Amino acid sequence: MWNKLGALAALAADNVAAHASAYAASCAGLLLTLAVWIAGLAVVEGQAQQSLAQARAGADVWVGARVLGRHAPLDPALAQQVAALVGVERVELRVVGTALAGETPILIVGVPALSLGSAVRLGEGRAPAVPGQALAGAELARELGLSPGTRLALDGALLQVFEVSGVLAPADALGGAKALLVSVEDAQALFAESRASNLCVWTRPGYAEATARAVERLQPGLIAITREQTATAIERAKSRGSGALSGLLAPLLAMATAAFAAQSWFVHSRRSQEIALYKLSGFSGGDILLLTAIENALVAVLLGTGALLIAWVWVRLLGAPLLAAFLIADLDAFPAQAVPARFTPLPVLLGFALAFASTATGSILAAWRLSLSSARQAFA
Amino acid sequence: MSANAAVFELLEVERQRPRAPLVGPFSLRVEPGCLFVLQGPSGSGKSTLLALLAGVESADRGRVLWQGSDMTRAAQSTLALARRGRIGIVGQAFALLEHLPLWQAVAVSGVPQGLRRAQQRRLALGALERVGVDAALALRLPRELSGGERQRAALACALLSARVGLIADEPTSNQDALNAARVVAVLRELREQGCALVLSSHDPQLQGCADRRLLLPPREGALP
Repeated sequence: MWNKLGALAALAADNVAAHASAYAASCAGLLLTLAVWIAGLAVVEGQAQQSLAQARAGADVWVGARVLGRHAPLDPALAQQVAALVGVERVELRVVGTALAGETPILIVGVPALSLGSAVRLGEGRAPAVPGQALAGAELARELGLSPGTRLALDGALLQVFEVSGVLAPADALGGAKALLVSVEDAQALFAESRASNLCVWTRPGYAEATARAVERLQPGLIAITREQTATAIERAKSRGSGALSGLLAPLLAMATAAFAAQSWFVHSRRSQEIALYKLSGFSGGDILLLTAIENALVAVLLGTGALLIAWVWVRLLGAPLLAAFLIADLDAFPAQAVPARFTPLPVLLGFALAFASTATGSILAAWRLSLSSARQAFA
Repeated sequence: MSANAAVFELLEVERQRPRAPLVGPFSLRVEPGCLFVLQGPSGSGKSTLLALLAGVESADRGRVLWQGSDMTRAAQSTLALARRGRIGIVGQAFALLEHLPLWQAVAVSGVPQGLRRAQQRRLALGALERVGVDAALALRLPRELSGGERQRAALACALLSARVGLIADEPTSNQDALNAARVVAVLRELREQGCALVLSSHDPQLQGCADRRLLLPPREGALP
């Protein structure tokens, strides 16, 4: 049995090679759809993976406030109250807002001066050493032509000039955003706001959940989210992103599969003489079905590999032009920086699974018809 | 299947189709080691009779037996299993797999037999050499061959299966005298090995070495 299977597989490989142009024409739509699908999923996975890594490296509890359903600033004195809770090891203020650099809106993130050097990944330059220095996100630096030493006037509540001391690595969480990282004090001065946007709280192991609930009891309107809750939210966002992408591409894949089915029908029709010869040579209908199934499996492997290769080049080498902007906020259609992407295991597995499913679905009718054809044609 | 059964047997076989020659009723019996030649003018039904015998056409009446097994209403898969490695068939169009190199097209009957690729190649090259097709042509596509070479290649393909029987429709029709003699020699060898052969032919050389012959009458209304 194995010898026969091997002989059929070898013949199937020869057939796929001999009918390569016909198969290529049939699979063009499937190839492009699968490439977009794999690339999109890889970007969604990569972004989620990066966010999860940042969340795991960040604070145990994030504290914010909402008043009448809108984000509200926090009194800095709250940091001392939180720091006094049992199990809390460290509390940091964050000030987040938007300022204008000319006509360009920029996200300003104020963090404690110590974190400016330790909690970020630098692409070039160095961490701010004195007040008035800032770190620019890679995308912002590209757009505004910023580099270490560049001065930048920002219009918040007040007009303030900052000097860029360094540029974040593209792989950093804020690297891809049009953001500027400054000290809390500088951010408060820029926005003429003595209050904080949120607090980041580090706790002793096992205290995160209890601390979050204790913080929420300190004042009405406070929201405390643990790292685990953040991870869950990221996973949910990833699922939504993947789902939206799949929802958009599923109809396209269905159309490409239908086109593949129609072309398979015509390609297989041209093979009736060939199949008649197989029958005359002792092939049973089952042998023909097995042969076409192996051919389809080989086509699916080639299709999946081709789609993966195109997706990889598109995302890794070209930076996912025209795709990343749909999936990641604040990115241009042609991003200059590396886009976070993860191809294994889900995008690769799903790509091959869809390739197998599409080719099998698209060729089943034509293969079944072929298996029923008579040897008469090869004899006449 | 009995031990002394005929390889091919037709019992009162008859077939009629619109715009096709009326065939039969015929009965014939071809034992192992017998060379049976069908003769008759064009349109007399030689090819149809061979197609009935090969199981690629179905009879309206009568029975078709292979080695004693009734194949008259046999399913395609039953016929395929019965042909596999036992019965070689060569049609009048000497069809070959056009998309594969010649040796692979010839070796295709080795696939359902589960022969390894190297073994397929060895057998195919041997069969091609036997019918006088140059080994240099084995890597070419069948469409690059002449009509005579194609016909001999189709016979080589059937030789890989013909351990028990061979059915061939005018196997020397496209051959020059030298190659026709070569084909006849191969068919004689097969007969000596105990293979039952049923052929149609206008070739006097082939008719001359037949053990038995059946002359089909001209079809009614056919041009002389």
